Amino acid sequence: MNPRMRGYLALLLGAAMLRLVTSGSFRSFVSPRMQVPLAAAAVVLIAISFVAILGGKRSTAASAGDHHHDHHDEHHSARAMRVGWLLFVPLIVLVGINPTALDASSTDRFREAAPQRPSLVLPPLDPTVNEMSIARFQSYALYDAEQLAGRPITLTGFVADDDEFAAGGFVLTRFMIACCAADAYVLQIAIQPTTSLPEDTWVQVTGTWVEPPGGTYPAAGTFMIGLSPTSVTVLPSAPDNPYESAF
Amino acid sequence: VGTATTSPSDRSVADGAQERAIDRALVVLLGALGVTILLRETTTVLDGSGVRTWSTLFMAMSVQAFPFLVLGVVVSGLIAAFVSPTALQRLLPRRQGLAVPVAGLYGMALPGCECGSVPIAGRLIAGGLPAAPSLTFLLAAPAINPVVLISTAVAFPGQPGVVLARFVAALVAAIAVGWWWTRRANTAVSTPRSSHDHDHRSGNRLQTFASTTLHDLVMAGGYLVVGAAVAASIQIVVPRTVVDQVAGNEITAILTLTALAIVLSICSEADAFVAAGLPQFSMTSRLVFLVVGPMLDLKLIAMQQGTFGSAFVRRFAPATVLAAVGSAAVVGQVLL
Repeated sequence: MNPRMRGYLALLLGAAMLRLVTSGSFRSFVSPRMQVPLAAAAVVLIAISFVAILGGKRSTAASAGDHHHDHHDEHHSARAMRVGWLLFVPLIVLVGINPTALDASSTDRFREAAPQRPSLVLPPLDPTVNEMSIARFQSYALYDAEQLAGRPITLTGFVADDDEFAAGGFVLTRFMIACCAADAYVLQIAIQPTTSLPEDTWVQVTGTWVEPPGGTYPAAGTFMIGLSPTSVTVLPSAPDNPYESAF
Repeated sequence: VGTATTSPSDRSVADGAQERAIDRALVVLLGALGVTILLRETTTVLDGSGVRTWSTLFMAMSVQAFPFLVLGVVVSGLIAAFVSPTALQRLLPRRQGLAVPVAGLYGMALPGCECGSVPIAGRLIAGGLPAAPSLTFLLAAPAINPVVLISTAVAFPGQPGVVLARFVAALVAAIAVGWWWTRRANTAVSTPRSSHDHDHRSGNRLQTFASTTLHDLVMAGGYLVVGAAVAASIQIVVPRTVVDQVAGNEITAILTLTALAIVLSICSEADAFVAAGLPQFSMTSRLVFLVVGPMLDLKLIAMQQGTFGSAFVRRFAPATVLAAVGSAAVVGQVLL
């Protein structure tokens, strides 16, 4: 890959990244707090590519006399730089496959999050409205369950099927990421009894915590925390951030 | 395009060949894009959960690495354009035994990834700096500079011990290799055959900056794409139970992640995010991954061979792996 081609490639990469940021679809891949760094890097890259493309044209025109040395080195360099063509692969994947955020079909491929024992005392719950993340709800259920009794809880996620833990209902699912989708954990709450909905439908569920048989949860991996729904609202689209943040 | 055949000079021949190579590459790329869209629109091949999850993970790693990669190559471009090797030379003590650890600590000042540090180390040696401290810098800089430490902190939120352990283990390994090189093989480094040094002498500095930056971006970015594709494939293809079994034993976990670090060739600015995505492995084995990767991987071997020669790599690479794995294993046991 020669310097001029590098310039055009960098321009293309910068433009694609800027488009991902302005359209908001970068949130399908990474945490929302990456917005500013991604936009800044894209703008810087576009500026540098302009310098390289315009300057490259000028030097090609000016150095017609003593080109032999340049060309030898450039040729060697161009061969070593063949790996650079691979940078087109993400662009082809982006435009050709058009990947989306992780969804119900991916849940089996990811580990369940093991809620950490909260280092701080969980805040007291409101008697009427408690909208919270699924991860937070799991922390209450495992470590501060007394607070949950009789309190309405509102959670947001998408629908996934599961006959083992959520027969006669569905699994409210959401992925939690720290940085990018490659480090995702899956969060799941059994919503029952309720009518089933198509997988990947985004819903907001309000209900009350289901106490496990005997009052305590068995070994990890053998149960799913449950919510008995009083209302299930279908959302028109996925939330801005399809993921919950790990911190 | 590609019709510069009016004179029989070297230039037009070389130009023609390059233009044709680019035309071919563009045809292949457009063809690949066309086939992908055709498959998406007319068949269900790309609808499988494997393909969709793979492409999401692949894009996730690529997007996450992007700002770190750009920052790294911009800084390496700035150094190439605006800092002379002789200015750097004055910063080191004359005694090599002392120069080695000092050079290692200077690694903190180079916020780049390993792809940037190979050409820089080559320039330092060509500029008359002794090989041992230059090589210590080469090994230390990609692992202990602020960008890498910050991205490590972001990837392991609430675990500052990982950042400290990475810093200590990488610095210790880099200094160990430097001292070993001082005693055993100090004269064996050939003058670097730098591939783009001429860029830095001619033309104006802004132009030098832009061309070095994009050179490093394309080189490092290409290998990053390979790393992201392999890592996403492993997550999709290898059953979780197999990974869990390998990960369950400390020794096999360390050996597996050493091999993975060398094969994946992920940029040191992004590798912490990959390590964070391997929660089934112990912290010590993931530390090994974070220490080995910036010091030695397939793309570094290729780059070092191009800069320093094969004889160099045959001696340098095994020593580097031993030092990195040993240092990370010990530091991991103590700090994590």
